Amino acid sequence: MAKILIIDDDIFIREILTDVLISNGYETFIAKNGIDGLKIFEEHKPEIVLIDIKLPGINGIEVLEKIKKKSPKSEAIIITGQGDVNSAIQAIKNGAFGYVQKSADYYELLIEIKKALDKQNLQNELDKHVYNLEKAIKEKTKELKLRKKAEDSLQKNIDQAKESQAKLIHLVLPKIYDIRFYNKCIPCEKVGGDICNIIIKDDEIIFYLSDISGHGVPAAILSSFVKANIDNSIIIDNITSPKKIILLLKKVLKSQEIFKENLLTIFVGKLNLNNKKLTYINAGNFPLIINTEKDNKKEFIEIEKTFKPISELLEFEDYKEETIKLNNNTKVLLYSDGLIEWLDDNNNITGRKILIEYLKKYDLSNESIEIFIAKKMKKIQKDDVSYIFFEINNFFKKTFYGSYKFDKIINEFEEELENRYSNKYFNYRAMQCFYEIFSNAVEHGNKNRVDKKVEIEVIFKRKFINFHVKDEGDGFDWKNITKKIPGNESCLRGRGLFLVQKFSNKIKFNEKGNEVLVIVKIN
Amino acid sequence: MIIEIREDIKDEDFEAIKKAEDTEIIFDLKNMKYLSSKLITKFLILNSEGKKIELINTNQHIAETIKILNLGNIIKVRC
Repeated sequence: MAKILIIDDDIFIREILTDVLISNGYETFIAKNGIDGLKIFEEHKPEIVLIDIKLPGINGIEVLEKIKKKSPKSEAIIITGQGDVNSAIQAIKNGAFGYVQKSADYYELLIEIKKALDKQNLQNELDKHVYNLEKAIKEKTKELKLRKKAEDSLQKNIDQAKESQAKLIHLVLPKIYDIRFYNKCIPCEKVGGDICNIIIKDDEIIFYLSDISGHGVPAAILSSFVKANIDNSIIIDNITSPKKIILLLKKVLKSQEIFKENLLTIFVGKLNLNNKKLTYINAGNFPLIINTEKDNKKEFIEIEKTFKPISELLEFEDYKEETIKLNNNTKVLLYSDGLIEWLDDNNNITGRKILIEYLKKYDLSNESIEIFIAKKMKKIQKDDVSYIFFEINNFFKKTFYGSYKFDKIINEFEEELENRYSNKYFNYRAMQCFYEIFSNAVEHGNKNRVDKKVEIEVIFKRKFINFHVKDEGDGFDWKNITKKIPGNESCLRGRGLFLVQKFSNKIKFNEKGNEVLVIVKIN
Repeated sequence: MIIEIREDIKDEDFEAIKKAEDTEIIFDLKNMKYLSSKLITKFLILNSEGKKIELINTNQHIAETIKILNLGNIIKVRC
């Protein structure tokens, strides 16, 4: 029941209006002046106020203003006498809903009241909707903030996982004078499923590349697990046989529930630096590409022989190792399927054939592979792209692999050469001589004397290198050195030979101490 | 049962195939450029559930992939 307050100084009007309104179902309150009216309004909060425009004390307009100020939603209808229309219009300007004349039919008043109430109801409905909407927006905003927070946290975790994985898959490429290694892993999502590594154990280089089904975080977790296990087998347990590595991995994976519905392709290779033999097992990886020279012609070989991938979904596979002998000047590329599964502008897949054609055309080198990837990466990358590439130069050396001291000296020497001299041929020869002398010195020591100490001073002058060797002992047969250097005939007149002569004439072996110590002083 | 397969095929679709009575499932790969290892795993799971799997309308790359994976006797390929 709507409440209506009647403010009128005329008792007759108050009584008539009260009767009319009560009989129409309204609850009424009355006041004879503005002050009483405001008090009753405060007390009962009526929906509608009927205000006589001419009131004793404060007039109807002022009462209207005060009511509107207190309760803007309350509607006021002004009751005017004849000829007081201007005041009524002023009242409407001040916020009255409408006005009726005292002489008018009360039916008109009832319609006006109905309209005011309808407006009020509509306004209330609208306010309710706005309130609910604001509430919903607030809740949604809160939910979005929470979701954003969760997403940020997840993103942070993914970024951290990416960093961790990047560190994990980042290969510390071995530095060996006669073999250059290159590697790249580009995950198609933030974290990837491809893994690879190159590990040197004495005279053997073990390398592998594996692809685990799926992408993103789940694949990254699995791949990290697989990498840790393979590396552990090689580094800790000294297992270098590809077959043993794969069988051990298979055994470990079998014990993990998570791998029951997964597929893992892997290539494991072992390169023996003494006999130059590459022993390998390819379990479902794309063929290894070998670029070598035969009869002075470049030759591309793809090792096609593959076994089934590692999976509990497949029956037992009797993995057998295959062996191939590599020549000097050989390049080897091992890649994941991501390298050839790019779509071109016509939505055609790159494929293995295009990769081979490209490499034949532009020569197989790390630069050409990187250019191939850079060109293809303009398109959508559908899968992780990984590869291991290495170039075997003129000769293999079996000694010193993994020797920190030797590696450090060689690196320092090479860097210094590169900094000072732009003649690549000269630098290459100088490196060969340097390497040969060290190797022979130590080989000689290992075979005959066990304990050797060789002190070598390398002095750089402008455009020239002098080797000064401080030594004691048996001396050194430089011919044994030079005959091991490929193409040493041309070396007889070259600066390389000069350096060897200069160097070797002064080498003597020291029998003191229990390790071969090479000291290089660069002035 | 012949099923046209797309890259966005969902795990639920494979669950439905697994439950189907048909024992010979032919996947039409005319819309596929390559097979992801995840998809190949799904085929192997179906195979382990007793379904014979055949791929039709495959491109050369997909046929090559199956060959390299040595899965020719499990997943038949018709180019």
